[in-house]
Amino acid sequence: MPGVDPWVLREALRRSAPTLVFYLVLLALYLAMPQYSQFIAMILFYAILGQAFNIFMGMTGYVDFGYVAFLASGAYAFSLAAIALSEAGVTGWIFIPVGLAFAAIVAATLASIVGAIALRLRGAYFAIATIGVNEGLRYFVEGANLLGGSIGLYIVKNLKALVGKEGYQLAATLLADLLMFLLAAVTVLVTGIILSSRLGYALQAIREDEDAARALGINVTKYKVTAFIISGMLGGMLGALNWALKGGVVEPAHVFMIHYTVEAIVIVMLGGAGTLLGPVFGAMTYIGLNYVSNVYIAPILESMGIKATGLHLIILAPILLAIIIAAPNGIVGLLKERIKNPRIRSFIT
Amino acid sequence: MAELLRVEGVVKRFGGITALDGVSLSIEQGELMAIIGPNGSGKTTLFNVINGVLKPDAGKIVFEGRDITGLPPYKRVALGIARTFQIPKPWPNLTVRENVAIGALFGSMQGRIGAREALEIADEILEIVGLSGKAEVEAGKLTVPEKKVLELARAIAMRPKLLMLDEVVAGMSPKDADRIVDVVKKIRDEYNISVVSLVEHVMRVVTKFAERVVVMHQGRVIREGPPEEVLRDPLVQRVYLGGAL
Repeated sequence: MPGVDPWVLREALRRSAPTLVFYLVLLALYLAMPQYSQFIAMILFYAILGQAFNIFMGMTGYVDFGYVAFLASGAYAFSLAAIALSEAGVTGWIFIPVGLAFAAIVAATLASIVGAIALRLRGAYFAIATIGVNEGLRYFVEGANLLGGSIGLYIVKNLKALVGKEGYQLAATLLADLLMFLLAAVTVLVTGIILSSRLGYALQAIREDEDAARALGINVTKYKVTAFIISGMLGGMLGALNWALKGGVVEPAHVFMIHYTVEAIVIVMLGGAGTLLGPVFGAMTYIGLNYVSNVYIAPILESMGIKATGLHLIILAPILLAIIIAAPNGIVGLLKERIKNPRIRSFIT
Repeated sequence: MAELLRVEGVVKRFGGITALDGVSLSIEQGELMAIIGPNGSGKTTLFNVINGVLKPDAGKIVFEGRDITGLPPYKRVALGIARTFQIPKPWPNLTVRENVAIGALFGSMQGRIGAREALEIADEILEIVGLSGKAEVEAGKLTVPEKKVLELARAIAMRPKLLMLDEVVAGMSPKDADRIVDVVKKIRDEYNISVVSLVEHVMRVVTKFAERVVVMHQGRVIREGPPEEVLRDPLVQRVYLGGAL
């Protein structure tokens, strides 16, 4: 979005502010309660996942089942950058911006290739084509024994070579999480700018009625591909931070797991597609319910003699279903319907 | 008057059915024209060919002297061709104001105005068509006549040179229909745009609105001329009432 109009920026800030406040509260909790920091970091990961996924799925209505491939490509790209820099004898923190930029570029390239082909398909056909992308990439990496094959890339020693042992400890803990907060803020602002500008209007028109959008002068392929690339780039950076920097390991069996895409869909639907607050509410609800069903409800059932792996998911699923039936437009949609006061309503974005 | 649009020998087939069988017509700048014809005569297909949603099998479309037959719809819209749909297609979860603003953003001013100007244009046009009171309502919640007015507002916001209206008054009360006709005439006078309106049944509106009428039947233009004359034509009456041609 070159040459952003100041009005669009103000409007974007107004829309983003409530969500940014939520992230600030999460950040404060993260810093104040170290014992819960990893729980909060998990909410943060899922909130960003939802937020980045929402830019495409929430605004266009297209479901990309292969979304996790962007996270994976970003994680691989970051790792390759870290490996290349450490082997070239470079030291220092420069690997983080370089790695993130490379992750964004690789994810954007993947998104432009996939988008240019798959976005000519509509509805379910698009969804099916994108599952193929994710699975295809994974089996390609494993089968052709590329990028560490099915074992993946372990970059801990490279990270230690780059910034030393203490540096690595810091990078993999506090620094990775703080960068995730920064990425969350960037993702929210990008969403706000999109929603306030022609791109957002075009995407929403496409979601609401693509034929009308086409007939009324919107170059639908161009806008869909643009949103797809932006969404993919942010996903790529998320994968890079969460798996490569924080985890130090990129395993194909993990980073290509379709599970993450499904969770992203659940979070966006739960919170409210196309909204800013939606993914945050969605992530908090999803992770919160997951925790409660795992830690509190499942043990009760187990004490009654019902034992099974993944028992908590059997509890979680009907709760999620009930919420989606009660609030088909997500939590944010429900709030918008219930809250009539225009001043409060203007904060529900 | 200068010619704005020329349709030359356009043929469109769907499988074995020939929907348009060599249609030729032209529209002058600032003209109010009605295309009439019974159901299935090819009116809507002609619209879709003019705005680029359908590609003709033969013939060409010339707009302001330029052959636009190969252009995609969004480029034709940028040149100044706007349309409404017979069955209104508003974007239901966006507000009335946003619907009209999107029209302005992607119409002939495409790329030259931003979201803020588009919203301001939307407010002006909603005022003109009398829909200001519903600006913040989601478009899906409007009544059918209101949705038709919204369609019109959205098309006007595109600042077209050629406005194509598909059955814009069908199913409306005479009072609402008259109001729409007045709005369209007012817009024409203000911006000197050409208006082509497709009408199946509401002949009262044709006489009130059109300066020239083109009659289509089975994919061909069978008559054209001033409304009173054309509507009295025995051939036209037979087309509508049945019987041998």
